[in-house]
Amino acid sequence: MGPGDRLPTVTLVGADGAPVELGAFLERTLLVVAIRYYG
Amino acid sequence: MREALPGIRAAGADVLAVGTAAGWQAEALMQGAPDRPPLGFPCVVDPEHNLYRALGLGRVAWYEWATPRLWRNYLGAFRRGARQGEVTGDIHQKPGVAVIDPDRSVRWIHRAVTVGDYPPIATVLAALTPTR
Repeated sequence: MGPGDRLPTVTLVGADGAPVELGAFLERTLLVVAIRYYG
Repeated sequence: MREALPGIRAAGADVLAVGTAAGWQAEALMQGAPDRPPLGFPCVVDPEHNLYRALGLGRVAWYEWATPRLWRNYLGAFRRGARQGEVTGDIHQKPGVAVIDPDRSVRWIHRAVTVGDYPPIATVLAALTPTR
């Protein structure tokens, strides 16, 4: 996966525990900051 | 990241934080506290590592915990005021930062070499600025 490649459908989990698709956040360009954990 | 939010939004982008665990910690960050304002962008979790795998973000090998760079990153974060909270997720997951366009195409990606390896905000803002 690199620049120009398209991500597959990715399922995440909201803070409320409900599944949410990455696409739900892609109304505009998205800066994704993937950390290890929130602690 | 909170401080950079206006510049990121001015560049036409939104921010999403993803962690490997702890929805309750994500919720607390979004809500803020008396000594800490709300983050101002959504935080989600990825316990199955779906996005980490899709972005090709690596894992911290056992020998990497002994590298000076990793501990320099920890020390730098401490000096900037960051403090370790409860460890709830996958400590072996390397982080990363990516710019994803609405059609799900990856415009830019930074895959961390080790723990705490985040790009400077100026680099991120440059990645958000369309080239002409």
